[in-house]
Amino acid sequence: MLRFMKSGAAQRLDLPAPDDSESVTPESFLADIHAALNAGSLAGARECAERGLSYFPDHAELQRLHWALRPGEVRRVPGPRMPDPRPSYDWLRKSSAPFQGQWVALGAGELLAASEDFQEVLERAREIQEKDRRHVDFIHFVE
Amino acid sequence: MIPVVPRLIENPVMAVVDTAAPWCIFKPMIGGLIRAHLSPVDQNVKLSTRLGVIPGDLYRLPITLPAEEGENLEVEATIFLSPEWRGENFVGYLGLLQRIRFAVDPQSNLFYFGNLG
Repeated sequence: MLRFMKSGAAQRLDLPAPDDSESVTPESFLADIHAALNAGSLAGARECAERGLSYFPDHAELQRLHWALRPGEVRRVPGPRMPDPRPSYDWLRKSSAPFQGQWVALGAGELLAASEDFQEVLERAREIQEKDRRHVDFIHFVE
Repeated sequence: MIPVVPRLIENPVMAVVDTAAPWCIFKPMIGGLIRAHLSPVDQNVKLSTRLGVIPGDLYRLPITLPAEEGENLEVEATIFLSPEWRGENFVGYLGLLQRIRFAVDPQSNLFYFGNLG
């Protein structure tokens, strides 16, 4: 028998409840999600999480993963434009050799900080930005 | 390579744009600062790379692409962090690039990016 739906209506599609012969458990969905992520498939992991929740809507870990795997938001953010970083790229090409194995912070083609410890350089970069009002183009590890 | 600003770092770090990389990846010293503040999405994820199979954890983190012209873009990215990672920082496809429009002009060495919508 044909049933006509209004264009504005929707019907909930109830998935068949798992019967005892199926090996569908929350753990099997969690394993499938992990396998999908191991295979580098974010969409696959999302789909597994979605399916898992449809069977086990109250499962906390499936809820967490469903939320964590949702498509990421993208938004324009206000802020100052980045100055031309090419002088700093030039510095890397010409002057970075003595700093091999170190992190360097560069701004306007000048070395602002250098250390083997990233956190040290990061803190120095933040200090320079706040106190000296200087722009940091980037922090980079010199291989 | 382009500068990217991971949330919690709040300063640009250079990263290789790689459409063949599934996730964004950051060096262990950067990763350590991120791990200290976030819970992983999934743990003990294996990443197959030219450096071998690397075990690590996946995190969700906003990353800003700073613009020389136009507007900065913040993308909620999926990143892979591992203390065993010995490579560069990467901007990967699933983790970030597939969420934006992007183009590379090799002649002028410019990386263009924008919102999908």
